[in-house]
Amino acid sequence: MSEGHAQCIVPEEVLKKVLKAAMMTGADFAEVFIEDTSTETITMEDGRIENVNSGRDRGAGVRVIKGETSSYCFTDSLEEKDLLQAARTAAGALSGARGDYTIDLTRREVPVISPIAKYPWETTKAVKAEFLLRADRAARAYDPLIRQVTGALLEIVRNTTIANSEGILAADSVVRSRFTVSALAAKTGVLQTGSATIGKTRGLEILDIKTPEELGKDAARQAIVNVHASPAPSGPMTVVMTNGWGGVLFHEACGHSLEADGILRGSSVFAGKIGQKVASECVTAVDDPTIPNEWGSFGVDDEGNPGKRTVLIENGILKNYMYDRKSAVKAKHEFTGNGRRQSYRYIAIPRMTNTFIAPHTSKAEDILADTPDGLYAKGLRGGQVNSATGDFVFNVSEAYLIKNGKLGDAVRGATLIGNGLKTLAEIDAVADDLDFGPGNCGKGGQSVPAACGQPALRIRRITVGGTQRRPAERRG
Amino acid sequence: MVDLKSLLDYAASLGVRETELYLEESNTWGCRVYQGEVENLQASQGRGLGVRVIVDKALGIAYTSDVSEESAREAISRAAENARISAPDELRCFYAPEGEYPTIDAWSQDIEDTPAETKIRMALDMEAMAKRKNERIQKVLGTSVGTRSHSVTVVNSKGVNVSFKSNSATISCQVLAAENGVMQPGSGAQFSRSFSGLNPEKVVDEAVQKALNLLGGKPVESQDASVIFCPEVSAIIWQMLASTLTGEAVQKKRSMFAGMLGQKVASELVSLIDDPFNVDGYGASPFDAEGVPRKRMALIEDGVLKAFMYDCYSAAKDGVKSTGHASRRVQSAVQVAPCNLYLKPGTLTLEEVVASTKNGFLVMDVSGITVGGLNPVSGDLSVGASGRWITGGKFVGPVREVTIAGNLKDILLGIDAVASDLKWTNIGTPSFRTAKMAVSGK
Repeated sequence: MSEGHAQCIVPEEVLKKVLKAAMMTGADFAEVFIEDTSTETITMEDGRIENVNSGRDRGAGVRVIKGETSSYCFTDSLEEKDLLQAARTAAGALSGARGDYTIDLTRREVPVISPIAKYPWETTKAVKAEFLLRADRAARAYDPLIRQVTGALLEIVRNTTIANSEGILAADSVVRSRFTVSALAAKTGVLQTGSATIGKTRGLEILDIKTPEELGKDAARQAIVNVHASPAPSGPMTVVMTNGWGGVLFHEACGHSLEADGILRGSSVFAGKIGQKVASECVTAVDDPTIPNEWGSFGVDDEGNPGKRTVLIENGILKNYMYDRKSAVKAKHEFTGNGRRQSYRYIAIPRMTNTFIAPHTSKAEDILADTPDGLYAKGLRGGQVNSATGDFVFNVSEAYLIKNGKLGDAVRGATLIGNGLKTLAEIDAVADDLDFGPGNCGKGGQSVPAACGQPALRIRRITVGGTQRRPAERRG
Repeated sequence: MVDLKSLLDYAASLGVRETELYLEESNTWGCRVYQGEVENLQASQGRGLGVRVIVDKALGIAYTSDVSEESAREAISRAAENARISAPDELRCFYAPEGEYPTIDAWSQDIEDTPAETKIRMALDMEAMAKRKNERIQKVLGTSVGTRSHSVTVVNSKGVNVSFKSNSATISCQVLAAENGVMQPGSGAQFSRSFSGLNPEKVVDEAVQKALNLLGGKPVESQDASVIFCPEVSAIIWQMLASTLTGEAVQKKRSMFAGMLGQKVASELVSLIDDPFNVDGYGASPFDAEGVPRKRMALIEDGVLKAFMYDCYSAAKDGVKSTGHASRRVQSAVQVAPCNLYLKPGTLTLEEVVASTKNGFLVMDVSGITVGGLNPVSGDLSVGASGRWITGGKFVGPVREVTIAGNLKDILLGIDAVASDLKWTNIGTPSFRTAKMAVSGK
């Protein structure tokens, strides 16, 4: 592969024929999305390599738009006849006719956002398997209470080519690698888990950033903390969150509600609020797929539009939403490069990429020292939101009580629940130590890689859902 | 498309003695309506081939979406290559056929014969119907009608060669209720094995009622209370619970029920049954992903843990036979999972269960459960919830922005009512009530 210039998967002449067939029933717009993705997964369990799975997803989706109606058809084949058949099926669902139609395609310059140092095919599977076994040994060596360790290495090479009836032709190639370790600790009937992950738009050099040993040890450490932890308290508390994956808070609390499809339907709490204050002044939030090598980065989105940095909230003021093509056209807004899809089997919809709260002026250690009483959320799992009400929930994987500005006892099983708008207003300190974590974000039955990021920050008041009633909260 | 038998021969020619091929083909059609217009139409034929091989006692896996001869052969080569990396285990095996396969009829010609216009008309009618239902329904966010036919074929070098075809229709409706600037979505859906079995009005009512019942919800004071789970939420809990009722989970120390076979793990009101023959469920099928015949099996009967589920490999480890619970998609490795699970309904209606609740919470929606809210190893459950509060047997108001927490073992043993309102989603579940959970709100 010549670096920087992803190849067109299907010849330009074929793409033109497909677009022509797609336009034959008088459509306003047609698009063909071609994908050739190779996925390799190696899983380890019990100190043994359990599964090695190599897959190839190769196919195309044709979308035709006429008026308010989109018609979509995909095919699991890249042969010309199958592509043409998909185009005719998509077009055939619309009624109308068109005479002659010609199209010129102009190749779009796609920047290389994420240079790759170690491509998946440059390392043998045996060596990759050994990385997992190293993580296993490090986790087990950490503490005798570690009973089980699992790990997985996922490597994806996703090549895409997109052409549309407006003459755009764009090709991109994205390499993603993710290494995950989970550990299980057991102590007299108590079973608790811990996990550690690194995932980037990189090759195997992710393991130069964090070694398998570091990841194994970190997963074990978290499991051990949890096995010794007390049940989490319940009720409203001040919560300090560490930097990194904690950005899933913003992702869930606000990010989904800033996607333009929900905005245009009026089903989001942020609809009609551009220019208004929606968060406290220390909050600036950004979506940016052009961060080099981050998990959600790409050159062009799945509709062929360049990824770009979009400031969503600036110093507390709502500035912008995230658009796919359809919502941008409808809102007469410029493209923001947020049209994404899980694969050629799906239509593109507005999605986040790398979404984060921008660094501010506080220091992480000062935020903690300045908090007399609260919960310190060091690790988080995923979360979920109702974008109409803004109500969200997410699960804390590692937490401590804060007593007089210092970390106290570890607690487990905590959930944070709140409302997006209310929580944004409750953030009263943001540090300068931005970091990211990799996630898989689900929406409309589609899963796409999305990074969540944030500096350390403090939420003055949020409801913690645990099983342990706090004495002060007990009611007769 | 490639001939599967000839692929087995090709694998043998590479020196691969044991090969299993898993082919899925599907034909889907769907439409989505918004504001009186067809917003999305899609019609596609999807395929995919999964390959598993055993070479020198080690398993290798590969898949391809492109089921041409060339791609299928490439997948076999890759699977063989991958087997060299996996840990060898003499218990690795594919299924050698014995006995009969059950006959299951999950095919309705009316699903295939219904023209696109009829399906689009149904979605448009649902939207119009939803708009008229109540003035507080501010918007219909979308209605959809979809049909799908699906076939699975499993062929292996031990002589398995089975195929099963089914079809189904699905409708859904999403509405948005609004009052005093507060919005509340609600949704309804139905899965049916025949087109004539679809009930659009019922689905619309479900969406409308859900939105209206939850509209204007507020947090309650933190307290312990009885919790009733509606069928949709109940389904999520039993589905996650079932993932711990496998021999694989026990062997991998991932089950909170390890060593509890024959013991009481739930209230005697609980019978959890996997029934491959009930075509009301998504999962009805005569054989599993390894070609093993399915059978009806009680996992929990009258509160007593009766059996764990097995695929061929986990069964070999425990010296038992596969129970026919291998589950996979084309892209994934084989896992052990139920095929068509249901919780046996009780005799009380949901209204009667509510009427007998002194201080409780009817949970109609939970969030965060599949992203860490339920730890299947420890059984700790802590999730966001919305629903309706019950005082003295009557609904007193909508509730949102609270969490409910407890341990699954206590929740199961504390079940004091199972309702009769069985509903099939991915599994079949009625509402049920557990005596006490921690509700965190204000």
